[in-house]
Amino acid sequence: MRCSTLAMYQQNVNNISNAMAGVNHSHHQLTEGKKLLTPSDNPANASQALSCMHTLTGIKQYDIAREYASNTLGYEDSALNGMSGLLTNNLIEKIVAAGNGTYSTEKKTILANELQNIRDSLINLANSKNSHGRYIFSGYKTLSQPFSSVEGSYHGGNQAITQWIDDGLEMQISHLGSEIFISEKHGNLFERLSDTVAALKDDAEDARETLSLVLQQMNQSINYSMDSLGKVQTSVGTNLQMLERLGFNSDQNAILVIKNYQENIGSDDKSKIQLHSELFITEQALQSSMLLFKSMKDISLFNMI
Amino acid sequence: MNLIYMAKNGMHAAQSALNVVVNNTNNFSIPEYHRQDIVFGEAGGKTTPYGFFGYGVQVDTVQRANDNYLNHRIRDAESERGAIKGRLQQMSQIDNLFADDTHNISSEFSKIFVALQKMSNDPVSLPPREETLAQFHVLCDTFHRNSKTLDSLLHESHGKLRQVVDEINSSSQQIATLNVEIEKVYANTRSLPADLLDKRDALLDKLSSQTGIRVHENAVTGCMSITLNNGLTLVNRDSSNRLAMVPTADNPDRFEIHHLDAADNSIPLTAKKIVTGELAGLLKFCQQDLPSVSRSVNQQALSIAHEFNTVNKLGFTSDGQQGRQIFDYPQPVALINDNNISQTKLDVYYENISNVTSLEYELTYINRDENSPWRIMTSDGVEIDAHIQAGGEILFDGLKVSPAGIVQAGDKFRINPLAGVAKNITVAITDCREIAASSSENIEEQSNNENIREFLILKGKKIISGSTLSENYASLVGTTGTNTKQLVMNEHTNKSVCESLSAQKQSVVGVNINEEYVSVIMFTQYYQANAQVMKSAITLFDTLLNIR
Repeated sequence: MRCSTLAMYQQNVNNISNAMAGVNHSHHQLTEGKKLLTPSDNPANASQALSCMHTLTGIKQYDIAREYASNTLGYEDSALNGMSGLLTNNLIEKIVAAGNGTYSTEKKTILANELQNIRDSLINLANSKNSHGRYIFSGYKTLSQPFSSVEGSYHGGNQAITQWIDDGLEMQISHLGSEIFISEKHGNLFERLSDTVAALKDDAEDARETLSLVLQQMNQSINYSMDSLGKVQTSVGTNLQMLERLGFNSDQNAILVIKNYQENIGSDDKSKIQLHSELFITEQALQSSMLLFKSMKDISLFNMI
Repeated sequence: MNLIYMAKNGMHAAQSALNVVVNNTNNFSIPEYHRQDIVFGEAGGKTTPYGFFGYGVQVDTVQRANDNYLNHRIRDAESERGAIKGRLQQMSQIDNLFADDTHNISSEFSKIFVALQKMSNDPVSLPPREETLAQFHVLCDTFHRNSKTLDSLLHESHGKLRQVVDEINSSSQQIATLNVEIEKVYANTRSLPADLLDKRDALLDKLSSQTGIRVHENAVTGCMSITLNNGLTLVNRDSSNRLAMVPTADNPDRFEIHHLDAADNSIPLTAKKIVTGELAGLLKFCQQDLPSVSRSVNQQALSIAHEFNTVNKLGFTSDGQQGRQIFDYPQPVALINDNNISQTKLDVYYENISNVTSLEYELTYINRDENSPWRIMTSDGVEIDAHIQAGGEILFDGLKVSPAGIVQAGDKFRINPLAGVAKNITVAITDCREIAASSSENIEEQSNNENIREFLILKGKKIISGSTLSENYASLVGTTGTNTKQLVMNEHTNKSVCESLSAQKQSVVGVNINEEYVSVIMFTQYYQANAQVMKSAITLFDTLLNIR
């Protein structure tokens, strides 16, 4: 086939131009640190990369939920431990002592005061707040103190706060004070305590009978509260464990998703190595096209005759 | 005597030959130049009983190298290239718009839920609320940004279309002028002017890259007529017809191409008639690719706004008030057709956003009977039934249309229910406490987060045509990427074809200066030989004259 001079020069120009474009593309990819510059480079991977980002945001969202849940449950846990200690170690002892008919009025007064102290400590714990300053045992009414200090009546909400802590997984992150200390059958523990204190301080003749009735009710109330407390503590413990496990799984998952994302956009280590070798190749192509031009341009009859 | 005459002819021929060769050498760098070869012929002779005595050489013609079949194939390949280029240049801008995988509609939508989760943890605290409100604003800004890019892309495409139409008209005009010149020269000399033919061929190549053409050429007389692929005439010898870009009657933002003939008839060219050339590529982009992307983005904006508004209205704010809508967006607009008799407007409202589709509608008032006075056609060409209410309002596909006056029979309206949503969506609430977290109006329930949990469900809810927002967005990006990639691959293939055909053409019509140099040497020797003959002839004559 005949080769016109113009065609030869044009071909060389095209070669250099194409090689240059190849080098530019390689440079661009290396600068961005990824193979996928626009969706058209690899549409399927681009779609996948978006999915990965979406999943990562979801993981982050639940991480935030779980962190707050752990935090709140942690506060609740320590409050519950305190309550448990007071109930089992101190209160029961005192109630048993109160049942002792041989105590003098003085001793009974001292006992009454001790019971009052225990009551106050318990109410304090029931009115605990979390790190954000919200009452833990008030349900939705987190700015309202659950138990009034004097009467011991419950002013909190009647719905416990729950959160989504994973896809489709709901967790109760706090409990109602009324669940632990109040029941229909056995009344309000704090009110009963007040009654007990009053009965102990009462010096009247029939006080003894009233006292033993009150003490009976007190015992029932205490047993109920200890039962409830036990249940709530177990629930909190289980939840804390589940949160930890979910957090661990989530971290594992995040690593996989990030790896998938990097593979999709070509920013993982394997792709980076590929990009470097491609750069080398394209630069070689450019150099050889330029060398070819140099040798071609001198081949002409005009230079020889 | 004859010798001198023949030598003179020879030298003359050599000079002509050198002229042609030098012309080739001077013009070889011009891409449209066709190589010219001198063709010598015998100038006849005298046949005598004792032999034939020729009269020497004459110049028969200067042959212009050409291959019409090759030209034809090149023009077809050019049309294909123009079509791909017209569409790809614009599509790659949408491709670039979607290249950002960290700050796009889907990512900003997802971030809303991170902020909402913080609000869910502690609905009383203000910073998470502020963050959520701020993220609502960021989402609207992202929609505005995308919409603006798409709008200016449409504007730019229209500008390019206008330019291409102007260039087509200009080329047609120039070809017609050249035709006149060429025919004149032929009439005077019975030969064709090679340089004008070169110019005309170049214009034909340019024209074919802009729109597909069929060329009818008479190789002897040089007469030429050009038609579009569908048969409508562009150039007929000395006259040319124009193309014009005209706004459509039903939508002033859309354009169509009209062909204006000599009698001033204006025929619209439908998409089926314009298949190749840059014109076709740009039109396909303006009429198909870009509206499709716009519709998707608008649909995403509308769905998100609707779902968030609905959830917020179910809940209660920090002040115990019922929530109101979070996002504001415009109601749809019905465009009045230019040819309408009455100037009555139609008011269009969203009646049920979940039923709104991504189709466009044409409503014609036909006044056929009481039950169906309107005919409603979708952009797919399907007629749909509408429910007419007592007050004359029309209900269909989630829309309610109500005439604002008396409509005449034959009046047409065009409705795009999604137009302008992404451009005009704004955040309606001003205070972060208006985000309705609580499910009850009791303001003592400060940490009631039940309504926020309803918001959180939206993340995975299938809010657009059976997909979640992130699925819908990923699909949009994937489709755009695939279409663009297809065009890139087509461009690559076409480029090989064009380069190969171009090399073939150059091998036929191109100048190789080494060849020409050899010719220079040959014709110089030819000239010298004839000059020597003349010298000998003069010597002979002198000798004759000197005989005493």
